[in-house]
Amino acid sequence: MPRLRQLSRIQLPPRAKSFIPVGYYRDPDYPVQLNYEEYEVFRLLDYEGLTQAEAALIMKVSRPTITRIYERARKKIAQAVTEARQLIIEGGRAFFDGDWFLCERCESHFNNPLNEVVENCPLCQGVYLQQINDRI
Amino acid sequence: MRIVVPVNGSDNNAVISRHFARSTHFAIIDKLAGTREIIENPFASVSKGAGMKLVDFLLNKYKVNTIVAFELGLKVQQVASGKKMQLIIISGKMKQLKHVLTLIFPNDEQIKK
Repeated sequence: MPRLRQLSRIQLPPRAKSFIPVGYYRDPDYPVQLNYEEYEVFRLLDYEGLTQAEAALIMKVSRPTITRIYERARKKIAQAVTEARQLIIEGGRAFFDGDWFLCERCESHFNNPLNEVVENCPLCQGVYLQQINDRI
Repeated sequence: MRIVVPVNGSDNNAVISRHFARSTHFAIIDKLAGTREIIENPFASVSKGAGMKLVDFLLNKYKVNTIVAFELGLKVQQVASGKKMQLIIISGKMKQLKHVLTLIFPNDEQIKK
């Protein structure tokens, strides 16, 4: 049995949990699942414009691993766009760079750099918080 | 807790900037003192590395410890995390500075004017 893939480091949680197509030919019953590390590689390479070597340093995996993850991410995104399927961002082998929370009241994401006990949202003082790290 | 919000404008109706380092102004909000001031972005015309300079400037001169933004560039995020600053990524529903002020100071009508 091959060993499990190394955990990839994620810096920011994605802003959306999923993307839903609109239109006559959409196929809502068969979503495509994009893993957290695939989303992060796609963001670092295509949105931030980093090289694969730079992304590998940030995500704490090897450069060939980045290539493989990126290949998978592109295939999945192309499949979702072409076949008009929902794209869900969840799962994978990754860990967050620190604790991240989502406030259900103001819908903000925030981190906890000082590792304090978090009971309220720092912006709106809302008490209904989700720990994003648990989603992986 | 001192909060910085990148805005394009100099009053409470200012639109929250989608790009932290390229905003025209910054709102500095002191949650404990209940004050807000708006300063100009001194690095608005710098072509490269404005985000990292800004984080140092805001931290040293205004003692800011929290960044509220819609989107943060990779370098700003790395520098801010290294300096133990709190990052708050707001929802796209919050368009103007007054929306953030309403959340921080729900009962203070004076500051929202």
